[in-house]
Amino acid sequence: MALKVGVQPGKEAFAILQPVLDWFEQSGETVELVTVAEPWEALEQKKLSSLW
Amino acid sequence: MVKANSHLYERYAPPLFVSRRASLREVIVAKDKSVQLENFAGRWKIGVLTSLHEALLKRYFGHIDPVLIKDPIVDPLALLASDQIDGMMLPQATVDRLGMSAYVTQRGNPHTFPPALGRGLSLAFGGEDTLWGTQIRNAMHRRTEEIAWACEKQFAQLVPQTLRPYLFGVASVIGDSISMRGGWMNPDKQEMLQTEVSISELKPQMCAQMLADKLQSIEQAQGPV
Repeated sequence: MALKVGVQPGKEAFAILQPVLDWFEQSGETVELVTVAEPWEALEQKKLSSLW
Repeated sequence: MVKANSHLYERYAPPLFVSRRASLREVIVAKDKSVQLENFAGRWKIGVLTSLHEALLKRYFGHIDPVLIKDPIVDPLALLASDQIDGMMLPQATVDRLGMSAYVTQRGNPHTFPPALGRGLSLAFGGEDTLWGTQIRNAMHRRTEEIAWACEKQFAQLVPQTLRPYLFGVASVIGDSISMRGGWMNPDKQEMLQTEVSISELKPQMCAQMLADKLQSIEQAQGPV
């Protein structure tokens, strides 16, 4: 199952996430990026694996 | 980049990891290569993502119409294609990631366009109690960048709320020393105030306080405009 990772809205976040995405690719983990308007709430409610 | 919110930062402190810092430089992207800040032939509409860059463009390039993009999810390429703007100011790292390097018409001078706080850093929260969380922390976490981020975050909390959208600065850690260059653009006075401090201790809060105090002293010495 893919890890569901929330990112703050904004293209910049995607840009600086590239090394992280590379890490997941190399380690065999799959990750689904989700842009969320209220990321902290989603993390609190366990709707996200992590918030970047 | 995570927006400043001390309450939530404290709840999730320390972060799972703070990444290596990406490029700090801003660039201009446009379909038309003649869209450059020093080209006075046109009154260009340049999209910007921060109030800081909006104020800096107004201050230094009177012939430019900065357009603050309030919807951060907007696709820069689609916006350029729509002809609503002539060009956009974006971080170099974003442009590289989006494969837009061919559209770069100008690379910004970091002295004219200093980096917003936290520029180029990626932080992760949550997942610290998982195997993948431990693995990625071991692989990605940069202690020096975490200290730098702590310094920049603290600086943001030491200045008046009204100035926070206009702050800039970058902290760096070398050995057991921290240095930070930073300041703010005062949109009312149309002035940029900046200075640098360094301490030979790994105390980011102290470094941020020194910077805020020094800036305040400089501003007071200048007096009202």
